[in-house]
Amino acid sequence: MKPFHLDTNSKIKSGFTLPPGYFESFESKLFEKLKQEKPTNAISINFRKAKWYSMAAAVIIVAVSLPIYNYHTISSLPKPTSDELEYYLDIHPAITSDDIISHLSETDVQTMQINANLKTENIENYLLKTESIEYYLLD
Amino acid sequence: MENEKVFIDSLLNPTSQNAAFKRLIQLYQKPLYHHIRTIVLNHDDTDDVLQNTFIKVYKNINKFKGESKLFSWIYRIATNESLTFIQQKAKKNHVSSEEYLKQKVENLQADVYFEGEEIQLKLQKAIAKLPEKQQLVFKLRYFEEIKYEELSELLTTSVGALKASYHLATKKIEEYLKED
Repeated sequence: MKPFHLDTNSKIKSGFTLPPGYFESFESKLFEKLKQEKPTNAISINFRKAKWYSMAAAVIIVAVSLPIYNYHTISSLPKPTSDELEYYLDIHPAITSDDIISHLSETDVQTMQINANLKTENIENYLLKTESIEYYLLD
Repeated sequence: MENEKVFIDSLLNPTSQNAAFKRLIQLYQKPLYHHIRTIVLNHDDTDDVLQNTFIKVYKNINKFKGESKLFSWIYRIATNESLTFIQQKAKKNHVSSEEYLKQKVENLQADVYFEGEEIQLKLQKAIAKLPEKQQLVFKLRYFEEIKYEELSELLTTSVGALKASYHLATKKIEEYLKED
């Protein structure tokens, strides 16, 4: 292996050549291309405008139709049963009581109070049937 | 060149535009050709990119703000056009830009517009092994002898980073060239 230094050795040329008379004919070739481009540009500007209008129209249609579609899709979905909801909450421990309460309205709370039938006798009966009652009393 | 502002005004004026543009072509076609050829390697591709560069200049001269020299602005357009051209070709062939250039170098021996001396081919092969940015920095610095300050403006990279890039490229190429 012999050492080679690019900066000290004589400069290596790129080695590229080009067809004879290339630069002499370049100007006319370029102007020819420019001439061809000009009418195309006029069309392309109109085309661009049309493209922008179509895009704007598409965005408006999507913006209007998406909420309508979502509303119909959601309202047509079957409502989950109480068991399904309980199971969902059971396997998602990250959802706390506070999370659920935060979604309840005043009317929901009143309805729940009526349905729950919170008489002292009922509460006592419920607690006696609950196996973990001692744990709660000690706590 | 004569007063650059006057020249730019004549490029913008519809009555003098064509004559001024012809002058612009005469002034810059050769250095731009060599600049583009250094990057894209092949003559036909260079011809395409050179035409696209001048067309872009013609169409966008009204956007030239005069923050840099006109030639630097045109050089930047030529560099971007060359890089975009390579990326598009590489994408079309489902390969990276580096891989595309490697293939081009492999074909150089059969190129009628390449002198084909062994050391020149070996140098091109060594360059093709470098990462894309290092290739660009090396080619522009070594073949075109563009100053680091001008390169910095052209490639929007700090002078320090360019020097480091060139140094690394040189070391790798020297390693490759001394292998025999």
